[in-house]
Parts: sequence; C-alpha cells; structure tokens
Amino acid sequence: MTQSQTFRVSGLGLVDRTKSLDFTFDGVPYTGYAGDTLASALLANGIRLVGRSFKYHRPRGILTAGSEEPNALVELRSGARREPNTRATVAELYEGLEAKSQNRFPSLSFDLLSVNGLLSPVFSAGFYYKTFMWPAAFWEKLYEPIIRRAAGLGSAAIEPDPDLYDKANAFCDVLVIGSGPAGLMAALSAARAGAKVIVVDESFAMGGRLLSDVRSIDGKSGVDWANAVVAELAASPRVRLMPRTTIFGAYDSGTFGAVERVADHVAVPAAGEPRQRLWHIVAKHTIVAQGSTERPIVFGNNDRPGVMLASAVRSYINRFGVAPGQTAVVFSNNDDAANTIDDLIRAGMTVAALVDTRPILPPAIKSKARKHGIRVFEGAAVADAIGGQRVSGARIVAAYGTAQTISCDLIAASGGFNPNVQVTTHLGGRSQWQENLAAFVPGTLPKWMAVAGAANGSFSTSSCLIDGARTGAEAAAACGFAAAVATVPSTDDELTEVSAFWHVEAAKHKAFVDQQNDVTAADIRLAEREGFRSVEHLKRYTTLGMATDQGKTSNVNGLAMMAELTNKSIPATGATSARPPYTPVSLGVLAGEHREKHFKPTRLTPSHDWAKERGAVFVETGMWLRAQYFPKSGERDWLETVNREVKTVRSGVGVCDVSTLGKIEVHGTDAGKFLDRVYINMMSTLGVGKARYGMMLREDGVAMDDGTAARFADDRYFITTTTANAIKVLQHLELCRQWHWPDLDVQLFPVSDQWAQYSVAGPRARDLLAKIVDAPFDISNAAFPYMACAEITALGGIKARIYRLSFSGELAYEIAVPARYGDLLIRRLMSEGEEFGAIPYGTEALGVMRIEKGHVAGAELNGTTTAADLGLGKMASTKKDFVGRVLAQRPGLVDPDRPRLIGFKPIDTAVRLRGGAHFIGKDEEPTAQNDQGYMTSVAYSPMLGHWVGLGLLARSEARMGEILKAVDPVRGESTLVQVVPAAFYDVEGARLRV
Amino acid sequence: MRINCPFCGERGNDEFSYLGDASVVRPDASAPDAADAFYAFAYERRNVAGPTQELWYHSAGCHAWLVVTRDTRTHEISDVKPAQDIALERQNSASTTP
Amino acid sequence: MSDLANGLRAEQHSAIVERPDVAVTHISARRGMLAGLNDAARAAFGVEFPLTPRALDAHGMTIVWAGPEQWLLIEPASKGVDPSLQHAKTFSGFASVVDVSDSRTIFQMAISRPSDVLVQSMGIDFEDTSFKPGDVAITHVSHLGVMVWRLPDGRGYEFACARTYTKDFRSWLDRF
Repeated sequence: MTQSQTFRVSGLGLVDRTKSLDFTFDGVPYTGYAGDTLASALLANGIRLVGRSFKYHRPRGILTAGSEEPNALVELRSGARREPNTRATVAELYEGLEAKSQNRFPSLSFDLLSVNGLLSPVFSAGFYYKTFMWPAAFWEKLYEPIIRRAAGLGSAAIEPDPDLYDKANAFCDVLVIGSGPAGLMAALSAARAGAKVIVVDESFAMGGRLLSDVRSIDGKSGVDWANAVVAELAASPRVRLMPRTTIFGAYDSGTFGAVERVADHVAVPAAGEPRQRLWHIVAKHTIVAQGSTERPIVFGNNDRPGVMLASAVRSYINRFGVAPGQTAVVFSNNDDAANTIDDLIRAGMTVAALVDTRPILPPAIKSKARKHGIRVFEGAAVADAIGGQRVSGARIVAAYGTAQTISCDLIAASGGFNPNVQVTTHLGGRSQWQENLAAFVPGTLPKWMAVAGAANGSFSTSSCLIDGARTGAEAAAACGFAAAVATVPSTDDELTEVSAFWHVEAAKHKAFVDQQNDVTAADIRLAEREGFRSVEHLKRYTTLGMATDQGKTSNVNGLAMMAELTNKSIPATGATSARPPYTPVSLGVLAGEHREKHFKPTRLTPSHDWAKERGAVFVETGMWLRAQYFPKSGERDWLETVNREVKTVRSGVGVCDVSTLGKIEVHGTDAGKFLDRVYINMMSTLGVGKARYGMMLREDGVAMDDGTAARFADDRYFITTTTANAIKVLQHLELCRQWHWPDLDVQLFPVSDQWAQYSVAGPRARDLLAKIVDAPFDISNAAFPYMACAEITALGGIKARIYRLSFSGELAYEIAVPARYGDLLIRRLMSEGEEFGAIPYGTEALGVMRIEKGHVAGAELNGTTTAADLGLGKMASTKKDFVGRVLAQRPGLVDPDRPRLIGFKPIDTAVRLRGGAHFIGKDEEPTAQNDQGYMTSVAYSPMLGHWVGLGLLARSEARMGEILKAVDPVRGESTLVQVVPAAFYDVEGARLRV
Repeated sequence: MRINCPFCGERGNDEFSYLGDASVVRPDASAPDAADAFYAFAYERRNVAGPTQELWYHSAGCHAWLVVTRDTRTHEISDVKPAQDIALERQNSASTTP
Repeated sequence: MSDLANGLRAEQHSAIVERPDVAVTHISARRGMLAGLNDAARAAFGVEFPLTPRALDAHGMTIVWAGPEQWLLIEPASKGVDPSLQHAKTFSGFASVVDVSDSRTIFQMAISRPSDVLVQSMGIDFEDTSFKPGDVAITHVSHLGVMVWRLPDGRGYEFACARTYTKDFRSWLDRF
C-alpha cells in the first residue's frame, strides 16, 4: 500500500512531478519524484526517524540536505550491492530503491540498545581507554564483540561486488569545484576567455545554493540563471560539466582525485557501464567554490528528529517542494537563517517563534516576523528540544532567564556558516579564523589555487558572483588566455551578519556536538578537565570529528567550546585542517578494474598455449605465469611428477621454457669496460663467442643479481638477469650508464620479450638439438664447448642464438628464437625429441636440479647475502673497481662468523626438510641466542632418494660433518641434519662438459 | 605530483621511481680514504627542509635518470635536468680543475 | 554513458587491430655520434631522427622516437629479410642497432580524432590540440608499459606493448 506524499507542497520545488518513483524504507513502500534525494522523499512522506545513533542508539532524523549529514545514514540496496552508511541526503532517488535504517535492534522505533543512553557515564569520552582496561583477555573475547554489536555503522555486503569500476584521466586549464553562483560565474568567465574548463559538482543537479534559496539574478530566478549558464557551458566544446562528481582530494602540482557516481542513481548499472569512475584530474589552475556548511547550535536534545539546519529546511522547501514539518521554531544567530521564515511561510507552515541569540535583530527581519505574526525572542536561545522520537516543542530561555515551552515539530537551527575549506588544506594550508564571520577561511594556498564565494567567506550571492567572475578571469589569464572580467549580473542583496554563538549553557538534556560520534558538550568539558585540550587530543580522546562526516558539522563547535573552557581565543586553540577524502570513497572505485585476476597484469611465456594443451600446472612468479610441472595421467601427486621430470632430464633429455629471464643487450665501444664495473668478475676479457656467469652487487656490498654475459662481438654483449630482477637490474644499469659513468660509450636495450628461450638439458640434449639447428653449425663438444655461444639459424632459416649453459648440471644448451617462433620451436623440440624420450619440465624440476647442484637462486640471493656468503667470493676481481667492491670489504661483511652457504642432509633419510628451519646446536635449546643460521632451499632429490637442503650457517666450512638440529617453529618440527658440501650430485661437474 | 621530464614532458609521479639525494657522487675506489668515502656515499644523507636535488628515474617513460630540484616543504619542483648532462658537466669540471 | 558514446566505443573497438607483420629495429646513438648519425640518416632516408617525442614517415618506414637519442624504425616485414642488418650497416659506428621485431605487439586504431578510450585511459592529455599527428608518448596504462603515437598522416593511432603482455593489454582494450 503506497502512502501519499502528505508533506509535498504544491507549486514549490524542482522535482519532476510527472515522474513518480517507488521505493521502500525498512520494507514499507513509498513514492517520491525524480529529482528527490532519499531524504527529501522520506520527509515528503512524513518520515522523520531514519536511524539510531552510533553509541547511545538515540533516535535520529535528517539534519542536513547535503554531504555533511551525520545522522541519516542508511543501508542502500541489498545482497551483493548492499551499501552501508549511505547518506540519505545525497542518495538520489531511483525507481525501486531499497533502504534500511541502521543500528536498530530489533526495530527502528523500539531499540533495546537505547538503554546505552542510560549507561552514558560508561560511554563518556575516553571510555575505551578507561573501562575496558583489564584483564587483557577480556578485550578480545568479551568487550570488543559487545561494543561492536552495540556501536556500529551498518553492515557491508558479504558477496563480491558485482559492479564494474573504471578509472579515467582528464586535463584542463581551469578546474572549478562547485557549481553554485561563484563556481558557475568562475566557469563562465574562464570559458568565455577560451580556457579549457572542467566543472564538478557532487550533486546530480548543477546550481548549488541557487537551487535551494530564492534569489533573483539578472532579473531571473536564481534557478533560471543557473540553468542558462549551465546551458551555455554545456554548449562549449572546451567545457566539461561533471555532475555527481566529488573531488575527494587535492594533490601536488594541481592534480585531484574525484569520484564520478556514474550509475549510483539507478538500481543496476547498464551492461558494460561502470557503477563509479575514479578520475584523476590535472588542472593548470583550480578554483575552489565549494560553498559553506551550516553549523548546528549545541543545545539540549539537539539531535532529536525534527531539529534541522535552517539551510536544509530551505533546501527541502525550495528544491524538493517538501515541508519538513508543520510548525517551526527558527533558532539562529545570523541573518541568513532568520530569513528562513520567508520560506517556511511560502511552504504554508506555521512559524511559532523566531529565536535569535543576538540582543537586537536587524529591523528588516524583525518587522517581517511581526508582519506574519511570528513571536520574536531576541537575545534568547532554544535550550532544549522537547519530544522523544520526534520534536514536539522547544524550551526557550529568554535573555533574562525565564523559560517557556512552545509547541512545534520542527526546529530550524543555525549557528552560522563554515566555509568548506577542506580541499584548500589538503596540501598543508592552514585555515585562518576570521572574527567578523565567526568562521575559518582558507589561509595559504598553492599558487595554482584560488577560492571563490562562500568557500572564501563571501557569503552573499552578489559577492559570490563578483568573486567567481574575478577568479575565473584570473585563472584563464594564468593559463595564457587574455580575459576580460565578465560582467557581473545584478542580484538582490541579502543580509549576512552573524554573531558567534556555540552552545546553550542552560540545556537540561544531552547536548550533542558531534552527532555522528555521539560526542556531547559534557564530553568536551571532560576532555578539558582531564587535560586533553589541544584539538588533536580533543579529537582522539572524544572521537570528535571522526567517521564518515569527518566533523563537517561538529569540528568548529567543538573547537570553539574548548576555547571558551580554556579562556583562549579560537585561533590560539587550534585550526581545522582536513586530509583526503572529502567524503567517503568506496574501495571498489579505488581498485577500479584491478581486482581478482586483473589485480596485476599477467605475462605469458611464448610456450604458454602449448603448455596449457599439455596440461601443465602453472605457478605465478612475479607477473609471470610459468609451467610448474607437467603431470601425466596416473601420477598421484606433484612430487611423483617432478621426480619423473628430474630423472628423465638426468637420463635422457628435457626441455624447459626459460624465456622469463631478463635479457639486456649491452652495446657500444665501452661495453666490456662498463660490464667490468657492474659485475664482480671481469667481462672485458671474455672472448667473442663465449659466455660467463656473473654476479652484480649493490653498492653496499650485498649481492643483487646473478646471470650470464655472452659476447657476440667486441662491442656487443647480451646479458641475462634473474626473472624477478629484470626491471631492477635495467634501472641499475641505466643509473650506472647515465649517472656514474656518463663518458662511457654504452647503449642498453631491454629485450626480454624479444626471445623465446628454452633450456634443452640431459645426456641426449645434443642429439635433439642437432635436429633443430641448421647445418653446417656444429654443436659437438669440440666445436661448441661448455660456455660457448653463437648466433645461428634453426628450423630452416629462423634466426636463433645458442648458448652452452647448464643450470641442471647436465649437458645442456639454451636455444633462443624470436618470440613469434617460440610456439613453433617448442612443438618441434617435442616432436623431434620423441625418439629420445624428450619431455617438458617445469620450474619445480628446475629447482630440484639446481639444489642438487648447489646453485644459488632467489632464496639465497635474498638481499642479505654477499658474494662470499654464497661461496662466490673468489669470483670477485681484485684488479678493478666495481659496484659494491669497497663496501663488501667492511668488517661486518667479511666476518668469518657470518652465515655462509652450505649443504644439509637429514640423518634420518625418511624425513622431510623444511625451508626456513633454523639451525641450533644438537644439544642446545631452540632460542634466538642459539640460532646459527637457517635453511634457504630444500628439495626431495630423486637421484639420492632423500631430501637435501641448502642453508646459511655460521662458520660453515669448518663444520663439515657436524650434526645440528633444524628447527621449524612454524610446524613444530625439529630434525637432525648433517652439514655437507653444497653440491649433492655430480660434484665434480663431469656431466656438463661431455 | 607532476614531474616535467625534459624528454617526455610533464607526467604524473606514478611514472617515476625515486632514488634519493643527487648531491652525493660515487667516490674514487682507489683513493686512500675509499672505505669512509663509500660509507658516506651509501648511507650518509642530509635531511633538508627546503630545496633538494634528487635522482628520479622515468621508469614508465623514456628510462632517463633525472635530477629533480624539489622543495621538501612544498613539493614544488623548480628544475628538472637529465642526470647524464649534469654528470658530464661534473666530469668535465673535475678534469679541467687543476 | 550516452548512446552516442556507446556507439563511438563500439566503432573504436572494431577498429583496433594488431599489426601482424612488422619489422622493428631499435637504434640508439653512440656516445657523441648524433651528428654523424643524422648525416647517415639524411643520406639513407632523406630525414633526420627526431630529437623530441615525435614520429615521422620516411622511406617506407615510421620512425618513432623511443627515448633520448633512441628510435624505433617500423617497417613491413618481408620473409627472409632482416632489415636491422641493413640498418646496422648504414649506421655503423654512429649507432647501436638491435632487432626488436618480437619485443612488442603493435596495435593500430584507425580513427581520426582522439577517442574516449585514449582520452580517458592514460595519464597523457590526448586532446586533439595537445597530442597532434606525429606526437609520441611512452607511458603506462593499467600497470602495463605502452608506447603510443599518432600516425604522422593523421590516419589514427598506434600502441605498442611488451609482447608477453599482449593478452592482458588486449583484454584491457576489450573492456570498453
């Protein structure tokens, strides 16, 4: 049963009454109109109570009409799209919208946890620190779950987010943030000068306060003027209008983060359309025209549904055509709010009283009130709102102390306006207190930023227009566009006087400073008494200004009250500054398309498709997807497969894709000299047609990477890096080339993707490759010995390179062809290898074989080891300078007690070794003091029939044969191991030189 | 932050990698005080509040190393030069100094 | 998204094609040899190598700036011919020359004006007035390194991404 919109006022508002929209709130169906927010539609249907508060579960309504809303937080949508803490005041109404109230149990109107309000001494400021101190175990098991249930802000969806999120970039000369009178005028002024302009506004309609206040500009209504300007801007190809877009942060050099809510205003985004888009906007010049936020006044029960900011009351009446009540009391300290009586009367409401804290009201306002028969209380205050789940009256305390209660269902309150300075402080700018405005205004600004209108404390419409025209022209001029300041249209003048007033002392009930965090005036006093007086302490002690609204309606009140309590001026007490984000940003939009398998890019090897066909199991190594092993049917587990692969390589022949190695061409007349300086060993002496293993250090003496250098001509080397370090090594070499030795003639070419490279290993490797390389190239041991390299052709004329390198310890070659032929080559290797029983092998078998041979890899080259630690100290040349040479000689790095690479085998050969296990003396306790090193790599050796390990052990050479404990505290295992040489198979290396 | 690469033009800092102080120069390994000099080169840095010269690498762009003059207080960048040009100047002035 | 934009995207999508058979040679000037290199280039191609991020058509090739004193020479591949060998001869002593035909995948997008795909997706100002025919940018998109240039004759754009990322880059293009 759809209820009628009894609070909708005919003839007022900008909503489209021809487009009726159905929605539900807590399961009850209602209707609203296109152009409504959820908040305005709820108010149109007479719904005032929309949520329960965070800590005390007090009934809460709608305080504002904008993104500063602390109270009206709801869960929107359901299932995977459920979204907690959505501000009803900015949620655009759409057909089928589902909303639920939060923090209520079991129902919104009857909340059992509202007894928290009775326990308020327990929940006062600092309650976390005081109440739940002891015993510590109680925190996790008892206190936290209870607090989490009692205090919270809705619940997030459990299912994965089904929507798409996108990222985009935009560039402009002038970015205008906000589309109120100042923003529109600034955009118009800059655009007419020819600048490329972007205008963003967080609302779905452009016009800012012109949509909510009745103004006349250029003889038109404010709304008509705004529409005309928007139309002119929209028609310009150099202007981009971005409604539903929030600038959430300002960053260095004029860059901004923004979220565009592309499809938040529909139930489900259209196919292929993102829900939200993250914008990265780069602007040469920026005009902040984000207006101001009205301050509440802190009085008793000022959080009751029916207490609303005066500007919000005007928004609901003028923009949405909704009367937020029947009988209103206006409570203010400024002209702007006092003038709300005009709008209330236009909406057909009764104004029971105008209560102003100022001793004397401007005559114009006073006589207007009198004309409408409104009771005027000067120098008075509303001390308390009366009523439980909604306001039923206001207790007014007059200047001379007498109190009386007046019936009403709406209190339109205003404590003045805070310019929205947040974005101007994101880069460290400090806002400045301006006494006559009783507000902080922007202070120091980046030179590419200007502030216009209410955001700068220029509150009247005419000053907004003047500011806008001027800043727009200046911004365009700063971008090189000759600009005449646009003619400022005439407007009706309004009064904007304010007299500072923060908090009603005579309040009898709880008076809230921060409604979202349930911080009361009493909490501020408590913080002052307990010494938490600086704004930073005040915030952390009371939680003032935290959570989703970041204190937009509370920070200045809290600060001003602390200033009063400490008898200091407001600027001496502190200033408000903000960090991004301006309003909450969903994690989904920050992630964009980078989720699940798109979290990072995937690199595929040239043999990937083929390996997939062969049923390879893949492993992620960095960005790469590599074949880990190739199971055959009937094999029970990975170990059985890997054992077979190792045995086949060691007895026949196997092929492994090693294309993931980093590959760099190093050319130039000084290439050899250059490589001498970056490797610890000599490379300039390498003969053409030869390759050499090399190690690079960091300048601090620690090993950085290892690989091979092959020389194809005097001025032409080709070097490889480990898969993981390819990018890092290139960056390092570029630094050496450009910065350390700019005089050397060296050119670097990253060619990792150019070559498909396969290791062909095993006693039959030569037989297989003889069928692949083109005649007459001779790969016999005599013609092409161990560590030879050559540029050849293969497979009938395809350019190729061949290297006699071995990681497995077997007779082995690496053969490379241009990547486009990688698939062809692997298929040919397999088909030609059939007669030799050739198999493919993966990274796992590769790893087993290198451990059997004692070769180091990533687990040993782990950023803490030196060349000497890895048993490669003798490789270092003493005849030359190289990166890391000097610092590698530091006493700490040559200490004989340093853990060095050595081998281990289990005493009980049936036992599995564990990587990461720590070595402890056989009879010692497993303590940190007794730690002598750790196991870096382990593998089951199918050749030896037991596990073998490599590890780093203090004074290792002297301890050959010693028996130690390998303790794995993670798995609770302790294994006896024997120290053995770091090579387990074919220790003499006879197999690779045949 | 945006960095004006002398080769590519102005780009977002997401395209660059930061290394550190550009005022330290790799010492002569054959000098008698090489151990101390390399220690200082690798580890000793001033913590400047104000303009500093820093090495940045245009990793997602042209692979040029750059010397960026940046004010650590405001992140304002007043100058960007190719590191190689500065390194060559440094070498030339070192070789012409008696 | 407006119908117009959706239509535009569909059109762009079908217009993005991989260039299958290209030979690409990477040229990097030897230290202090730029003048000699340009003399050789003028003699061989009738043009000098661009010193700023620009691409130009010459001698049946597109010459694309690829970093300080570095260029890619992109030309149609023909079977059995390795143009990098000829280029190495031409520029011997003036430049180091490497065949990188298989290092990158080149995508061509045949549109005359910058599209949403370009304008919104990269940290480069691609608007017509900022990124003109013949302009080149080396940048990244969605964590992938890319080179992009506007064809000197204004026919469209080309992107180059590392070959092993082709599948990912294609799927990134296809999400539009």
